[in-house]
Amino acid sequence: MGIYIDQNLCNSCGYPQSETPCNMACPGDLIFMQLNGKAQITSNAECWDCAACIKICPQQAIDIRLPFEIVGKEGTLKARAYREKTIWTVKDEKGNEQIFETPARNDASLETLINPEEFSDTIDSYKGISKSFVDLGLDI
Amino acid sequence: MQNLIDKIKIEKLKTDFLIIGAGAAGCFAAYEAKRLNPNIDILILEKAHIARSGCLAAGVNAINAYITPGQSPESFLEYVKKDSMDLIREDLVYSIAKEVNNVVNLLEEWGLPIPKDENGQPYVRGRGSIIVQGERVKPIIAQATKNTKAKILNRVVVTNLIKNKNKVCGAFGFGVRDGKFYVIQAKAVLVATGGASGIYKPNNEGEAKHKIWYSPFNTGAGYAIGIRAGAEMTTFEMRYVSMRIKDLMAPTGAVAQGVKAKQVNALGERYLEERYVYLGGTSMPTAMRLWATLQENIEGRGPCYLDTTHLTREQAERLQAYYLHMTPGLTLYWGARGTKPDTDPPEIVGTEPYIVGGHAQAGYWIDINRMSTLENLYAAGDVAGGAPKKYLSGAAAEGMIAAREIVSKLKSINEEQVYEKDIKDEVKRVFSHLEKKNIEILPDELELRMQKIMDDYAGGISSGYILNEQKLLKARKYIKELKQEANNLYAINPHELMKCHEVIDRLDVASVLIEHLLHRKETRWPIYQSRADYPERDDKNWLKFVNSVYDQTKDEIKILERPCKKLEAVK
Ligand SMILES: Cc1cc2nc3c(=O)[nH]c(=O)nc-3n(C[C@H](O)[C@H](O)[C@H](O)COP(=O)(O)OP(=O)(O)OC[C@H]3O[C@@H](n4cnc5c(N)ncnc54)[C@H](O)[C@@H]3O)c2cc1C
Ligand code: SF4
Ligand code: SF4
Repeated sequence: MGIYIDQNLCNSCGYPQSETPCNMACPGDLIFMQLNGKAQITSNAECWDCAACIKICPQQAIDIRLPFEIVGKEGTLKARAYREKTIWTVKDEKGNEQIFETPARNDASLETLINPEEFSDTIDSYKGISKSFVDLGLDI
Repeated sequence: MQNLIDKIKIEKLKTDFLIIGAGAAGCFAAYEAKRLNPNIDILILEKAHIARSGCLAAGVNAINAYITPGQSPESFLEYVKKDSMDLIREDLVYSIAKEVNNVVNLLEEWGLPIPKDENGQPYVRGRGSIIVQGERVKPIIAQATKNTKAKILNRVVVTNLIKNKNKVCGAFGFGVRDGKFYVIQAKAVLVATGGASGIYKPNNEGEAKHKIWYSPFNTGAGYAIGIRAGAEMTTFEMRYVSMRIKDLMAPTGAVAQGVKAKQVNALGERYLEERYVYLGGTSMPTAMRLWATLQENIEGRGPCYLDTTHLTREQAERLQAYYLHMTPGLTLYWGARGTKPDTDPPEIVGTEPYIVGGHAQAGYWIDINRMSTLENLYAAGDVAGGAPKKYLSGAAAEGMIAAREIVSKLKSINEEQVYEKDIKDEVKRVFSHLEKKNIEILPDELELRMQKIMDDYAGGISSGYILNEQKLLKARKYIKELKQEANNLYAINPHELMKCHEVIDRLDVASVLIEHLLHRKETRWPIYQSRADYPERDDKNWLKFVNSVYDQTKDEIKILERPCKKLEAVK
């Protein structure tokens, strides 16, 4: 597989009045809007796992699932982007979670950057992180 | 069905400077041109969306072309030359080397996180490479490009260049979202569409077919439009086959250089040092490191690994997280298997061959200012030839170099006319695949056939990357036949229409590639270009470039040879 879009979580992001973030982000033009207003992937075989769509979805409706044939296990990767960081959740098939954080920008030039209106890559309102983070150390 | 084609809406636009592809090279070109002269009208055409398009969609975790403390542009040039078996365009590589740190300074200013040590220096990851935390590098570059007020048209797929005699004066394309046909008239055109993946059968199949290293959405359009317009191309025969982490095909730099993991075989031997010292041991050229790895497998000592078992649990988790900046699927790969790099070291394999001028050196034959052999047409980044190992920073550097030349020349360039007949012909060529046909071939079917031919006869993975004349002649014949079949390609919507043109473009790239592979009668870059019938490197006869020009009216590819010059001679 490539990605899975939870049809209950997807809230259409204002479609058809506006372009939806997932549909806009995919570098392979793989995500389309169905007649019922929910997002769907054209062909999972063509997904590159770039994670652009999962990070940008404000509902966190999308996760990455690797093809069983190359992993031999199920598992999901979710992500949520904020202005200063992205929080990632890896889940194995038993439901064990691992949470990671990656920094997103230099503090020095915080203001000149991505316009929050244009990118929900930068939603600031995440709550409820309880697991410990794996901080990106500097020795690798 | 004449109807359908008549109904296509045609949008005509005019600009001073047209940039095709909003990737590393294209965006930096726009930035530099606007910095030098904000009054220039710039239009960027991008087949995806500038925010997350091209190679950089998932991000990067290093800058791979950088002059680290103690190194110099001269030493960088020497390194690239040695790694490329002495055949490079020294002038191009040197000009990139002088520019890359400037690119990194800009990226940092725009907001790319670059961790620093206690002396304020970036962490050196290996020769010419520093660590960055670049998950968001593409939105950062996109924002800086938008800030310049360059115009950006997203979701427009460029299909051909517009020519008036030997001058290039614009480009054609179609909108995947709006279905319109675009005619862009321009004084100068920069091709920055990246390289080509998907020409050979990939490592994985079926549902996993796009778990490949290079972007599956960079499909060689930039090469193809140049080939069809008659621009000279160089060194397609130096394919790029990379050593990657098995299954997800993730880059290895973070493991090999980042945590200093050694290449080991199934017996735990550090084979580079123990068996291949005569080739340079751990400092042997990139192509040879892969060759040695494949050799271990052939001789029954596989699989090979990057040995990460020396890491502590904490370091292993950091390494796992580090990949979120570039290949997030690999982080999940370990997570889903319930393992970590300290207990599950990554296996290494070779990828299918790619055509990519930013790692190897297939691409446009350009002058020092990045102008191609066609007037007013420039090329930069992965699509430009002669300068291997440019990566993100080198691609951006080339975009800036081209922009400077274009800005200084614009005033003296006259607007050329675009002929109505050319517009009509291209509308027909582009959209006829939407019409019902007697025989209908889907783009996926044609792609599989092309990949199989190339894999079987032009040195793909299943043939151990080995080339010989008889097989190449078969590849030539079958690809020629397939080009005829491509007339029957059928698309049901604009997305599929894009896919039709992606495979048509790749067939043109494959045709040129085969001629280059046939012409070079030596083995210069093992694995990238291994001729079983000419197994030795032959500097006496072949330390020179193999170039080509396609003549569309005769459907003929003409091969040319060009000398390899020393930097002093060029200066
Ligand atoms: C997985 C991966 C990881 C990498 N990691 C690193 C790293 O850590 N450090 C590093 O220095 N380098 C890295 N690189 C290399 C680097 O990303 C590339 O060398 C660089 O992006 C090349 O720039 P470019 O502008 O030539 O191509 P790209 O950045 O790929 O841009 C090409 C653009 O052209 C567009 N395009 C293509 N066809 C058309 C068309 N027909 N019409 C309109 N637009 C079109 C594409 O959508 C894309 O936006 C990595 C590459 C890959 C694939
Ligand atoms: S971004 Fe998320 S919520 Fe919005 S349309 Fe796409 S899947 Fe649905
Ligand atoms: S992961 Fe990337 S390639 Fe796959 S659907 Fe999402 S945006 Fe597209």
